[in-house]
Amino acid sequence: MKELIEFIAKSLVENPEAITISEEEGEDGTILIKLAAAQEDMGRIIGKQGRTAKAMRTLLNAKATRENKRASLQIME
Amino acid sequence: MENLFILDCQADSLDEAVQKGLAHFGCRRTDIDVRIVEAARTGLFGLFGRRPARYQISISNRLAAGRLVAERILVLAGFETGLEFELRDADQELVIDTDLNALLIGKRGVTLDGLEYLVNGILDRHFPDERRLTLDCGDFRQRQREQVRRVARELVEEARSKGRAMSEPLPADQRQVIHQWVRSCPDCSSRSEGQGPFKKVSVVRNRKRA
Repeated sequence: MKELIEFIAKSLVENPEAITISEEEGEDGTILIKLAAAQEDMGRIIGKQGRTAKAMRTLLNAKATRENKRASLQIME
Repeated sequence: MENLFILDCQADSLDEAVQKGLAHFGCRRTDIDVRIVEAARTGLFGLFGRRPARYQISISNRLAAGRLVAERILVLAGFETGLEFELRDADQELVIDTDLNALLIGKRGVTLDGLEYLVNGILDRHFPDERRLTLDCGDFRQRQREQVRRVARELVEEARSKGRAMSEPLPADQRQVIHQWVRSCPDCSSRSEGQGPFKKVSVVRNRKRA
């Protein structure tokens, strides 16, 4: 799951080396992906009115649906 | 991170470099630029220290680059089976076909719109001067345009009978189609209301002039 978000996030930002990403499975089977970026890149990750974050979540949901799973993306401040 | 749009390679001729580039990117000749980074060395008597020239091959336009980005994202998202692309240069449009088109489009096109937004966001850094790409899947955009025109006609009819009508929240391009339709109706006028992604179109019946 996290490779999808990692590729998108690293392609969007100025400092791809500052992207950190983790993936864990909760008790209810939901996959939680945590994404952090350099402070000056947060705008690129979130986007105007959260459009970029929303678009990443939509694609993540499509992949999760395809695998009969649930996934959520948390962006760390 | 590796640059998706650049390939560095060695080749004995420009033609060989071009062939390597086309094979690597799976694109058309018009989609790549090739330049020599370092000339070939003939070496001593053409034997010792001989080295082929080094070339840099890069993607030359936003549409071809968009195909590469979309392809990478779609494979990572699990849409690799039956994945094919058509590049419509005149419309700056990338048409995607997969075995799972309904899932790729998503409810009201949200997944396809999300992919379109992300692909353009990634391309903005590399191709800032070119027009945004539109992504299509099957005949979805065509059906969407017909749907928006239907909504426009319904809004005008409702405004004529009730005095005013309000649409669902719609993206800018769809609101524009509705405004254009309303402008062709002399008895009604329209404007966008609301904030950010929640803007709606309001259509009102014009007061009759005395």
